[in-house]
Amino acid sequence: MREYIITLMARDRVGILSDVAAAAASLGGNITNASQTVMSDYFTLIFSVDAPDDLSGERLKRAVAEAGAPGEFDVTVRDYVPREKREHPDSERFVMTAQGKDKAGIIADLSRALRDFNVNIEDFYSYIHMGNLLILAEITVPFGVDFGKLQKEIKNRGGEFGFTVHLRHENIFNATGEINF
Amino acid sequence: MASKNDILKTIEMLQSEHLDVRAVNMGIDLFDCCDRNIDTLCRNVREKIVTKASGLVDVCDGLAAKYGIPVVNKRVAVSPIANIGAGHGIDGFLALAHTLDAAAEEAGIDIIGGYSALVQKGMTVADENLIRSLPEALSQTKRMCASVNAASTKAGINADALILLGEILKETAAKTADEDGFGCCKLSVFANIPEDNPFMAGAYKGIGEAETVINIGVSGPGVVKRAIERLVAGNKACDLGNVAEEIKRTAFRVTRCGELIGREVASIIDAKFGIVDLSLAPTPEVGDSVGEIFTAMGIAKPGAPGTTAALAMLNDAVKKGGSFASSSVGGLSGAFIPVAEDSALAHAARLGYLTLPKLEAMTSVCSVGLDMIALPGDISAATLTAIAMDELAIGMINRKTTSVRLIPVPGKKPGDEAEFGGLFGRSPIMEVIHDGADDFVNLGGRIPAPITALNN
Repeated sequence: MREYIITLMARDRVGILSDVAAAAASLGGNITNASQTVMSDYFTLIFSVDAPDDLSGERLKRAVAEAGAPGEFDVTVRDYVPREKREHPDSERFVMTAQGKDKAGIIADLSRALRDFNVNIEDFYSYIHMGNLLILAEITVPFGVDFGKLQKEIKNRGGEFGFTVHLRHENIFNATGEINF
Repeated sequence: MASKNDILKTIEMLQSEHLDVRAVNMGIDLFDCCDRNIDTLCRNVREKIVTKASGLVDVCDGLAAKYGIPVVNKRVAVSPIANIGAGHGIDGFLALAHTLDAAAEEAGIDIIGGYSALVQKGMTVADENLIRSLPEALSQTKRMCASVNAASTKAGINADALILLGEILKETAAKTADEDGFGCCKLSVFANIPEDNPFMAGAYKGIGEAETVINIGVSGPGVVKRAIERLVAGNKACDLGNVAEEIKRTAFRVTRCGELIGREVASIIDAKFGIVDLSLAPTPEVGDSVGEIFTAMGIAKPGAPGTTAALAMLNDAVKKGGSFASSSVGGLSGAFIPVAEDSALAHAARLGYLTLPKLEAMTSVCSVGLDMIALPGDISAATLTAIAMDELAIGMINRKTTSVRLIPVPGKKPGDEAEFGGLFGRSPIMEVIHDGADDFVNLGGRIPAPITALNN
């Protein structure tokens, strides 16, 4: 058994996931993990497939691409290589929010500040609503990082763009959003 | 991890609705400080409070940064000082009062509670000494709050203690006359006082509680008010059931935030987590008012007919949401209606909508009683006692906590304004019936405990 990671991008329509899953299944592939999103009418999908040993990545890619109309799907396939050691073994999850009038460079600046503190972004979401940009990012902050310093830096960077930025530990969202915590 | 929608809803509550944790209260047991020598006793008390409480402010500030939730008040409550100082005279109690005040200042705590006596059935010598020391103690200290439990459903009402307290209120007001009788703002007289209340002036560390305990007061009324406003504005078909449901949901969230912070504070400072108190505690700031919740619910002038029903629904919905959120609910857990501390209530009193009789009626469906009521300076001690007896009777009969925080304001009469400053706010002097109860009050003794089976 081998494992592939596949990404697909296309203009959104009804039935993309159904077509792609059928193509993988026809070759004996089994979808294990998948995440899809639609943004501005464009569809993206990332998924992993457990495949028979004799199924090459090229053949799988062709089959998935041919599941759509000619030229409809942009597909990439990679062999899955497990990481030997997790990059952030001891860390805590926080949610970063930033709100302000959209300005080029804000995402670049905030993400650079996070990188400088060795903070990984695990989930990132932003959209423009009536000229204001809202950023929502789930991040992992390694133990040992000076949280006060990180918070100050992030707020300052955002402040330079006229953005209000907050970092909050994920526990607060678990506590207020779930019945059990 | 919570969904994006849940995250956005919580962020809205944190940022737009000003959710905060209203009070983190550290209860500290002082029984191991007792000593025959007053200097040794005071030294022990100071050392224990400073050692235990010095880190509290930093821990709370650290967690406020981690979760993005302000922790507004960091306070301490100690074992009832009448018990700790037993065996010492009035001077000894005064020395303890100064010690509490100085220890709070040294630990960076703004208010310390527990200068308290539990006298619902009778007064010990120590209880009486503490009560007699109150005018001096309250006028000479800044950070110390006092409370007396003078009634309970099990014991009845100790009228003798209330007669003494009527005199004490007059003396305390006289000693702080240049501050509109401010000393009385720091004294609450209770029926059925809870042992785990985190709110001042009535917080003390109950005898049945752990060595060191953290009790939490959840966010103020602003969050509930904004939630109701948003609901009503966006929903023409909204009825009272929808409003109650929204209050429940909001109470659930604020209770969860409070418990999260409380448990983490307790874990960091190696204390027991006690309770979350669901009370909606207003401040004089606009937008942080129980009176404004009434307005959001459609009662244009708090105190108008309908206010008691609105308060009953509000109080009940908060309890329902909070009880579902936490198994550690305690303290007072009801809406407060402290007139001076709530700018909308004070304004309604100024306009004549909110009167003393209406307030008394409202306290039958909420906590915590006739709270922060400014009264004419020429009110007699007997009338103060009679007002307190009425209010404590509501608590005694209804098996709930009630209290009075009455401030006779020297030299002022109805229509004048009293100014207490800061969180204590300002209030018009309320109209009061001065005579007619003296003979009843002066009978003294104790109103017997009520029967609890025939409860209509």
